[in-house]
Amino acid sequence: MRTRGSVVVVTGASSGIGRATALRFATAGATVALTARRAAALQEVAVECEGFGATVFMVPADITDEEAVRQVADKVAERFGRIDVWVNCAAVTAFAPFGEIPLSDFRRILEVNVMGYVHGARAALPHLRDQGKGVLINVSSIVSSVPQPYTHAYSMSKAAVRVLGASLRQELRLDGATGVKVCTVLPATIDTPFFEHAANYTGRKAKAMPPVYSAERVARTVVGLVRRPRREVIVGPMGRNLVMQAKLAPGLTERMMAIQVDRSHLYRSRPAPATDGNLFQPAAGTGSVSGGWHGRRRTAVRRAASAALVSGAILLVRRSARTRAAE
Amino acid sequence: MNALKGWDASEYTAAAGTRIHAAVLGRSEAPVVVCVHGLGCSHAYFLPIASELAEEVSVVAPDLPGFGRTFGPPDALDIRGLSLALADWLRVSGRGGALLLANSAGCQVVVDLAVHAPELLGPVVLVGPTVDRRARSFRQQCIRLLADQRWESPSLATALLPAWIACGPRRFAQTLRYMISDPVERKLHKVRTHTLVVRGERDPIAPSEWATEVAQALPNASLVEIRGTGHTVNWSAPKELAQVVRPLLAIVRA
Repeated sequence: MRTRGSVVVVTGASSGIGRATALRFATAGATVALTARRAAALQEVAVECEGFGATVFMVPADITDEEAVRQVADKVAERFGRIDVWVNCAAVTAFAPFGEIPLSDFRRILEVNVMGYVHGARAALPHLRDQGKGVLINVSSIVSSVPQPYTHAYSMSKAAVRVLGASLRQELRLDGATGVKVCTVLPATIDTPFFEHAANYTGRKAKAMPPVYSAERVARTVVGLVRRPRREVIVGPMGRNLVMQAKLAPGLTERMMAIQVDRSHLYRSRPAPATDGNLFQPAAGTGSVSGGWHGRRRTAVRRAASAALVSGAILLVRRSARTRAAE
Repeated sequence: MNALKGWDASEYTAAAGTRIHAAVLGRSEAPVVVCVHGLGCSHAYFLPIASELAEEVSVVAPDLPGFGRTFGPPDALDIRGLSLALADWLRVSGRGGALLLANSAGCQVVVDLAVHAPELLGPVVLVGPTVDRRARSFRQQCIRLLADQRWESPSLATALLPAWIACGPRRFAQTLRYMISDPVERKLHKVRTHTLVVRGERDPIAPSEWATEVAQALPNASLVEIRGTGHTVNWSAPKELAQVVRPLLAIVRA
């Protein structure tokens, strides 16, 4: 499908991946409908999108409210006559030992990350089905196949989202809706305000676990999926390696992941007060794409390092070949 | 633009981001019948039925964007795109509530119109509705299209030749693909106005089984079969078609 002129709904458009995705769709010439809890943040995103010449429609809503989400879909369909793409992107998380996370927080995470996506899919799919064509994109995470300690609710929810996608694809196939596609995006660690907004009961400040990629990179993938839909896409080559590793050596990967999360997902030296983050109340301010984890710079550094490594290796091989020839 | 042979007038309306061409025939202050053409066709093949009804009503046959004399976007519009364009044209030209007479793919466009703009719908006549859900593939549809040629008069080809050229093979194939993926049977229940399903007895594109299913799924419909004709009843049997359409005109008048 062409992105130019298509009508796209993005949930969780106030910050992070959702915001980057909305902006990317705006630059690609799509009509963008923005949904999130924070109207002020949406306003800012809308102004940015309009700067790219896109038509923007703001519908603030909490995705845990089924009726509100259905109204979002109906309003967009009424305004533009159609919905071509629905991107489920709104998600929350908590860092906490299993025994210490309040159950209400645990429930809320499942409610937002799982039921929110279900509400989105239920609202969007009837429109896509009636049109006979359209794309539903669910943003999951690589933690759906490489789970982590301390983020049980989040990992569970992301696995559920991935399965929901697979299930919907099969159902649509049986229904003969070949023009309606469901895609799941599995990003690695992304530089967004997500870690700052997270609920945290570990006593340690959370940080983006390396390798960190930029939110724009995910946005690029999401827009690419509209042009050429695929079942599941992993964003970030290290993420792809990790998923592959989890398939080949699941036990080893679990052990490694446990250590890695303990070492590099939570600061050892920086304490953090217990907080329920943005679970029940939206974060303050007007949001942003980046969380200040230098996703782009880190990618550039990684690329430079691997380029240096490869060229160093080539030089070494050449030199040894030359000395052997001289002997 | 030169005048159209057989029609009273040719009008252009700025709607749906283009200039939508429509051919007009009949009394100007009479109730309106809007004819919606099928795949690769244009206003031209509605001339026989229009002449038949011209005494009583005003017949308007618009060309959807990309077909006939209306320019469309470079990429073909899908069914929703076409029905949005039709809705816009109906609103701009003030013809909402007119009787909609559709043939073939035009039926899909009219049914889709009921989803997003039910207020524009008058009584509906669906002539040879597509796409039979049991033959939802490119190959089967092409075979049926060829099989139908036996029942169509050669003069239809001469009427449609300019329309085929205007549409072009690329748009034709793209639109056919969109038609096939359009789940028309899901949307039939939304057509709440008085509806008549008409099929030619020999029509392989809309077989009897499918036409019956369509008529049953519509909340307020009856099915009429016209003997000895193929898919394009509006060209090959205008008299019989006019006869079955006439009772519905009373609803538009009221």
